[in-house]
Amino acid sequence: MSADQHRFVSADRRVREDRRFVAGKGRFVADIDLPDTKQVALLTCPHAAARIISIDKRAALAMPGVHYVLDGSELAAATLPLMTGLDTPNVPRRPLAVDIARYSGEWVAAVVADTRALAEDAVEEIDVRYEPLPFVLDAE
Amino acid sequence: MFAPQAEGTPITTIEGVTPGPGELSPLQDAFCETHGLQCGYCTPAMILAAHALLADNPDPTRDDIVEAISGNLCRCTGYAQIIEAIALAADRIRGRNRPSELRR
Repeated sequence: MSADQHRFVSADRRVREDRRFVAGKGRFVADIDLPDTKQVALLTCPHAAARIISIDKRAALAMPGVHYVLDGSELAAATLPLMTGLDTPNVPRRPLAVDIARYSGEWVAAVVADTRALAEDAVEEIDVRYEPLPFVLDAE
Repeated sequence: MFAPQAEGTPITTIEGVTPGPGELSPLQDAFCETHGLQCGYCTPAMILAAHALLADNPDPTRDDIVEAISGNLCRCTGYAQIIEAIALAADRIRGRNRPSELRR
């Protein structure tokens, strides 16, 4: 094969966009500051496995600057499950846990507020009652 | 370190390590060469951490490099190419005044 025909094959190439990233010229979604943008903070499950008994949003919603508290059931009713790439039809993956949280740190609810700090504070005011479930720690 | 702890001290950001308009420092260049980045989000902090390391220690071991960047998270590269970039830049900076026939 001739070299000029295959100039990308087996050749060290530089990435076109790297230059701007190493020089501090990157631009990310977090850099975009549109007026009146609302911020989201997420509530995570503290249990390795737990049934979600109830989610009391009232205290969070009563805070000034808090606009919405979204839970898994409401989101699931309005959206399709995420694609998992795995053949596990009985375990639909959802952005926010529905009924059962399956790992510590799984997102359970999302708060929309005027600022990230407000949203984070409001997350702490959501009162979730869990029923911890048995869990496994390894594949065996 | 929290930002208020730096009050009253000179601060260099990523824009400040570029030697001139359109130029890259040896570290910035090495990151491009070894593919020490993908999305670029962590890159300024990685490069600044490496600059601070090389300012104190021009001939760092792999462990020194790992320690120096340990405060930063990168979700793209798996760190290997970042470590490679810093080692490459250190070697080039040390060899800057070496006659070309002695350079690796």
